[in-house]
Amino acid sequence: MNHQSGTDFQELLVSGFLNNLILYPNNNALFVNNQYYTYQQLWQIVKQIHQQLSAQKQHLRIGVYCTNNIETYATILAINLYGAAYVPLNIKFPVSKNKKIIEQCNLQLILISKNDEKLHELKQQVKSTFITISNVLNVQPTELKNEIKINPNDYQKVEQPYVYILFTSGSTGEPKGVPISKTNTNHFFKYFFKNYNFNERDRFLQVYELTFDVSVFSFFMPLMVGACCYVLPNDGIKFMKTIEYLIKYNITVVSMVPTTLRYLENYLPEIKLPDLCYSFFSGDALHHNLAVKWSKAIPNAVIHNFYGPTETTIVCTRYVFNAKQSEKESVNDIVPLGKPFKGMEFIIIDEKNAPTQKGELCFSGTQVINSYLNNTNEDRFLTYQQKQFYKTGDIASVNEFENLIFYGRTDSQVKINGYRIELTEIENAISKTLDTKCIALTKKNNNSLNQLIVFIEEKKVDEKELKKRLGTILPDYMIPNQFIEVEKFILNINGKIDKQYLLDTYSA
Amino acid sequence: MLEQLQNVFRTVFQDDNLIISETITANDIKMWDSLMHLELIASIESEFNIVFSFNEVMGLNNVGDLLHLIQTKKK
Repeated sequence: MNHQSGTDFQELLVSGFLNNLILYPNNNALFVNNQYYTYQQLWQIVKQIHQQLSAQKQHLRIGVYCTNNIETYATILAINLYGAAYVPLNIKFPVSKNKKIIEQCNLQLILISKNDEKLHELKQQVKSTFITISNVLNVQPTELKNEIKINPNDYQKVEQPYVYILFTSGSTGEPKGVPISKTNTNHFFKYFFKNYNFNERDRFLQVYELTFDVSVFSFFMPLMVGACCYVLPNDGIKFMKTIEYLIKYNITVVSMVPTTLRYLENYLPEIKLPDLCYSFFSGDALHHNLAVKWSKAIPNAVIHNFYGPTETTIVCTRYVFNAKQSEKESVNDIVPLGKPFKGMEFIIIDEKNAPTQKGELCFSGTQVINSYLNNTNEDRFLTYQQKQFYKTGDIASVNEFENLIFYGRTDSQVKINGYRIELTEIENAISKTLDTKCIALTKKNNNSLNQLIVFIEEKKVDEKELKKRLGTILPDYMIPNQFIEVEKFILNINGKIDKQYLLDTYSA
Repeated sequence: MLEQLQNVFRTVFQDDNLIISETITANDIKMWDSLMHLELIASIESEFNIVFSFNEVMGLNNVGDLLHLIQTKKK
């Protein structure tokens, strides 16, 4: 079946799922917690949650306390069908971060499927209504005989422009809300319908947390083509589980962060994945030497390197990896970011916002947000030739093959396992906790993996206690691996703390 | 051997009071993530002078599996 519909693309993401429900009711739609759910079974659960939602007063934004279970995934579909924007809250986040998200989004309603201590604490601190999704798993699937076509309009209860709102790390410690509209996601998915022939026999692996935007691709894309989405469990060691699932379930499409390859590097010669057809990367720089090794483990797959900040809707450029060509084009062993998707355009600017050859990469177009939530835009947008561009903070240039090349950041943002982290957010959290100056930096360990190191001035540190206290402010992936006490920070010739000196002197 | 393995765990996780048992999994030790897993495996290989294959490491679900694997490799 050809799914390159293009012209009749519906607005709600769930529409694709509803079409495939009629076409392939008995196909597996979701595999989560060791259990398969067919399109028909998933629909029954979605309908139940939708009924629970419809019994409430109308809400334009609805929070989901996300955990790795069928209820969470079905809830996202139900919210989309209802017409509201879903706002994922992460069960792993500290209470304070989830609270900030709830407050910034002014969430009145939050759907939950699992109670834990942190949720109990959260409930005490916010005024929202929490509703437990319950009894949905006891629903028996009914035949779809009379439902020739399910019209999403019959189920849509509210109208508003957004599909989801995600939060990024903010330098001040305040997470920034990124509202992604239906127009944004529709253009994003159009690109994939136009350029790929995914079909109902495909098996997608969903490895991302639902607060990470690539999850939108890994979850919705399979449902739009009648395929099955396999959700990676939360337990165990993630990179090991990823390969285990790729092998065990003969996965055909997977999107991962490039760091996964770094973890696997020593084992790559032992891995063979003949069923994999599409290996996508995004979220961090893909290294050429690792991609070459990986390509040997996946003899029948193509490797596509994608790039895009959350603000440009998941990803917005693509580079089709070819070992020989990539060797020519890679700079500092980093594979090019490629060319922008249709409907997207970029400029490269200098510090005075004037066009230049190598500088800050900025995007304008159909996948770019108009504004952050509550207009916390600071200086992240600029107008050039009557168009609004989003300033990514990434330094790039264009090579002779018209591919974008990535060099690094203009600010203190780093990537750890694909997570976008503002080092200043960590510094703020520690400074507030200890009342002293500190500097957060990253350093590669023996496996070339980024580690977070914090240098603390004039203060004795009880590392265990500090980590515990930081755990109430920062998510786990932002907790530093190492704390180093420094007598006095040395300044460089510009009067700034000499970071290289700190790394060279103290963390050898 | 459990004690020897426990010492490796204590060094890697920088926790002198860490007690391990056969049923312990990565979910039970907060710091046991992908990064620490690589360090742990490398430290165990060095301590017991063995090398694990990828399939062997992939089959590990808890400390009991790890102990059993080390014993098999040491034979």
